[in-house]
Amino acid sequence: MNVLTNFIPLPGPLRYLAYTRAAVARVLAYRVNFWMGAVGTVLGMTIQYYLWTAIYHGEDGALAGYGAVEALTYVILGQALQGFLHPEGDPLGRKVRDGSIAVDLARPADWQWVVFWDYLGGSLFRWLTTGVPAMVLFTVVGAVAAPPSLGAFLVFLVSAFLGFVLLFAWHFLFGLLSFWTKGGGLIDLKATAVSLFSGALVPLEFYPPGLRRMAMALPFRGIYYLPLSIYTGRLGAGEAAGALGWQAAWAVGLFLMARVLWRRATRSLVIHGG
Amino acid sequence: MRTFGSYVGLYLCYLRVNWLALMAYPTEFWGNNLGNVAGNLLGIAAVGIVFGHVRAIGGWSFDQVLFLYALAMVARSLWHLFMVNCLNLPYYVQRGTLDRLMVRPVNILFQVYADYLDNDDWGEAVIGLVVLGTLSVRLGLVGVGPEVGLARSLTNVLWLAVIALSGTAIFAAIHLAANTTSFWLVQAGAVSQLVWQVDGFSRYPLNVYSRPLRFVLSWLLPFGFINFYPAHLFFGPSGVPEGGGLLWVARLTPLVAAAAFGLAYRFWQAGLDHYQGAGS
Amino acid sequence: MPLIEVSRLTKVYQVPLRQPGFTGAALSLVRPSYKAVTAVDGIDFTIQAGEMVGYIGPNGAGKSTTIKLLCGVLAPTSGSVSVGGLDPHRRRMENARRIGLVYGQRSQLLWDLPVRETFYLLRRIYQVPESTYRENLADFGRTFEIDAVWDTPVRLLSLGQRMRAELAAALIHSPPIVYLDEPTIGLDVLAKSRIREFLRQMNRRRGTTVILTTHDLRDVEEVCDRIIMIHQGRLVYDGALEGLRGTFGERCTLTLELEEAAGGAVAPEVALDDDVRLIKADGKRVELAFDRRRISAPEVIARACAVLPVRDLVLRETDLESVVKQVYGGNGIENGNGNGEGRGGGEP
Repeated sequence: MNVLTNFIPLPGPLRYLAYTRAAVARVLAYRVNFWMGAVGTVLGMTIQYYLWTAIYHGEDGALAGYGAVEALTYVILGQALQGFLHPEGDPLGRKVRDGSIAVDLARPADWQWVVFWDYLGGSLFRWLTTGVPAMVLFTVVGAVAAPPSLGAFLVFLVSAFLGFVLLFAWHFLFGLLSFWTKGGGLIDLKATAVSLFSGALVPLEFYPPGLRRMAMALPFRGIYYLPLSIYTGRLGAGEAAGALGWQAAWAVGLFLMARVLWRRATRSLVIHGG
Repeated sequence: MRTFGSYVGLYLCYLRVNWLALMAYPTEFWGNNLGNVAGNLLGIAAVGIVFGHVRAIGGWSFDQVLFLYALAMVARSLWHLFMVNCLNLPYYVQRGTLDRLMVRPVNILFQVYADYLDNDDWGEAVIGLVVLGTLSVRLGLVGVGPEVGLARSLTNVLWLAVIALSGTAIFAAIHLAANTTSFWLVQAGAVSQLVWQVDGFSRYPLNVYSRPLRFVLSWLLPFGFINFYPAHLFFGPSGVPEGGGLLWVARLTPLVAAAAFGLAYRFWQAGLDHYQGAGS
Repeated sequence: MPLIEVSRLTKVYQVPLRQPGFTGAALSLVRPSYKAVTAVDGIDFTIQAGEMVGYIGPNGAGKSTTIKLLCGVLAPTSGSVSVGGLDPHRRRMENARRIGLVYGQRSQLLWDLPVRETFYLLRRIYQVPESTYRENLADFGRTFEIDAVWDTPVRLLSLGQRMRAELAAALIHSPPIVYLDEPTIGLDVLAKSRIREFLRQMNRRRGTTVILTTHDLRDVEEVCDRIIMIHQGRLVYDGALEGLRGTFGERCTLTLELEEAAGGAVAPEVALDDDVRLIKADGKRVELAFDRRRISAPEVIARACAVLPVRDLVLRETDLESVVKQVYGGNGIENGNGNGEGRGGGEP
């Protein structure tokens, strides 16, 4: 038995695909939770549908530059993406607090990538099985508009993925704080910052000017606002390309920042013995 | 038999140990409440942002929608602060913690509620009360001046208290029923998670939803009786779209709340019987 | 009249069956199917006030289920339980006042708070009269050394201190009956023997009836005057400890590996008297059982080495599972949860 022969040299991060598969298997293992989550997502989309239909009821023109259909498309797709973009809970923080992170650190794998591919597996699976069918349904019944072109749709997919990376980096950075604070109390705060500044609930154009300028300056709008605006066709080809570049720059930046902090955090963990 | 007084004394004792236990981690307490305040302010801000562009949603003005929102906040926070531990019921069942409660000479559900109190929803309670108070004055429901009148003010305050408590009972009933399913379902918590999603419906006036949804939210999961129906007591026949027609439904609120909790309690007892192997 | 009367007691669990595949899982949501598992199967026994009974059996034998039935946590499928003249399930509250329950693995102490807070709360829960409460605390202060840890948060206690506090907490309302589920699990030898001493004292001074489930035979030996043994839900022995002594006493197994197969014929010479018994002589392998209290292990080994060409040897404590096997000839024991290590040498 030679250990070396068991090592299959996959290029780069693809080695971590096993974690993606494991995440999918985990979602499948809790089937009732999965179905309830699916129904919950559809309910969330339904709420948005009725709420925004009521908002536009009796309004002939556009609000904040949005027509009824565009606004509905934006908020309903935003709701569908929430199941996709939200890794549940605070797994990193929890692992740090209960000490089980030591086990993960002992493995011969880069843990930041492990968590990334794991999150991606769960999110992608939930989105493909819930978000996409629900969106198709809402489109077929005419509640929302289809994207203006196939190209726009493909660009949206890339943008949504970059949004996922951004959100992941933000969660990871925040989870790292647990190394120093030891408390888990700030999860709400983290989620609130994302909800407010990403444009997850309401398009940023609706915001009052001051708040809007702030949201535009922060990286969070790359999570929901930019992909959604590409889907609705608000951003033309040129603007969309710019948006992708902006998202990618922030995603890489935050990811690297998390990496530096992660190194420092694990060093302090090793020194202080957790 | 235990007297009501002995339950009060016992509850105070539980309050004490829970408070002490939470205060063993003061950073967590402040951190959680800070997050809670931020989350609730965000919810109000979202309503505000939309009303920056329209004057009414479903015929309800900004102040009226916020009034609904605040009513639900007060009821939800009262439930959260004192009865939230029923969300842990699935774990109690799975880990056998429930057995420990069953060998004590105290009502089991009482023990479930008192066993752990969450201290991180004070933000919602305070914000809810402040917003509710401010809007009650702004909407002319309560006031010291002659335009409202002392008698009307007192009646309204009394009704508000009754409705807040009814809302607490309705939240308690819905969450108790949802978590009681864990006696049958192994993957518990799933139903409960869904109920939280449905809670989202209670943030806006019920008349924006379709008929079937409205039926569900009125009579199956009676979120509508937490804020939408009882609000008609205050806004008068011309204040809101369905004004006078729903007045009698609004007056039913305490009865609906009592019935809902009674039914949920019966369901809980059936679940307990199933757990003990005495039922079915 | 006996304090506890159990007759034809049976408990059948309906265990949900997991069907394979996605559709199977979805189907089980709509129409779940169950498998009946009989945890307790027609048990009869009576216990008099003041007895100390060891309730033993291998893992999954039905011990905890019986305790739950006695506490009123579970309702019997058939048969009956009567504790002090009450049906514990139907009159849960009244029964609860008369019993104390100690789980070795599940604490009822308030984890983050000083020990005293648990007692303040339990006093209210059981509505213990002021005088009884004071008396008991004074008593426990001495016997359980509660005074020393009164103001210490539970999470800072040693396991031994915690178990003593646990016992005191279960006794604060002076229950006439105490159920203990694995009270010495995880404790070191010294702490175990102290717990046993407390149990004996409590029984002597207060006349408390004690029902104890355990894996540790010494608990039973040192505390109980009677044992009830169950296996796969059935009662297999009920009586004095002495009655089991013959086989039960042989607490050590010595397995010898011989240089040559011929040894098998000489083996009986080692087991000449009652102290050492030959269990198996099979080619190069010989198994002996003996009671440590009557003959020491070195003596047995010396004796064996004198007559046999011993190449290697293994010494084992006999565990509960193998006691049951020895007593009942291994009938229907294959499915037990234990791994049957007590059998010694293994198959050739």
